[in-house]
Amino acid sequence: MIMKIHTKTIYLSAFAMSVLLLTACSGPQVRYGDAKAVETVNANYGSTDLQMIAEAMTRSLLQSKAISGSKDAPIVTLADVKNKTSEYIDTRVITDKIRTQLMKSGQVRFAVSITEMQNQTDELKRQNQSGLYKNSAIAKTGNMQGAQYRIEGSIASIVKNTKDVKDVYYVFNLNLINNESGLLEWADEKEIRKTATR
Amino acid sequence: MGDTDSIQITDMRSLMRNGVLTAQVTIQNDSTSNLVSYRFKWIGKNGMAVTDEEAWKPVTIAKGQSTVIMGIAPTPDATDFRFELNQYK
Repeated sequence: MIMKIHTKTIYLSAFAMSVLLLTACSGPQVRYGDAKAVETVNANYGSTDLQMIAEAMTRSLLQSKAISGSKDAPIVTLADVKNKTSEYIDTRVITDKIRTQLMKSGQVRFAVSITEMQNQTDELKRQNQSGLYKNSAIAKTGNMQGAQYRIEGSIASIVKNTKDVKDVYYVFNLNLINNESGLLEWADEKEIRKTATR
Repeated sequence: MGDTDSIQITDMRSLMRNGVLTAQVTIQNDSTSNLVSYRFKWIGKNGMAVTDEEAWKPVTIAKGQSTVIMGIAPTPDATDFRFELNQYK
């Protein structure tokens, strides 16, 4: 009888130990989230700000006379978006996002921007000057199409801090400029306010 | 989706402007201040969605406040729209 009870308690404690070990070993979990969800980790620049800005600017640009009123899809290039805030913001990501959405709409054509010119000239050099390619099957130098318009802008912020509250206000400005006449064809801005309370 | 029972949609309308569908939705908050996020879903001729999912956009509505939300379709193929509301923390 005593033997039976002993083995029972041994089995029970062994089971309890193994359960404890399993829960102790589960550790931090990784889960995929929704890339489009609202992100409220802190009051700094975040993914929702990037998405809101790109979407608002794209939709507004598609309605402008220069784009919606032109017969053929106009050719545009991306110029600089200045970061006038005190945070590190990769403004190139914002304009790339705008460019992708505009291309998907099919209403705008894009020419390579200044930052991408090096790749373009390298490729043309490779095809034209290396002597390796058949002359009838290459992309010839001197046939690039210039952009009629360029997109440039800036992002600025006003940050106010007290003991309990941090308030951040962003304003993103975007302009469409006619390359030949130098005239501003379209301009729009997006304002965002984020407040963090301690 | 989420806890959005206190938000009423009081008006929905749309029109074609500059060749692209523009939608306008009026929402009203009947109870305490609520943080909600919204997005539009754009539908094409045969009932299929014409774009990828949009990002959720947050909006703050105070109690009793009624706000107008406008959306512009990303492509001229959109002929109809759906409006989605969600709560965000």
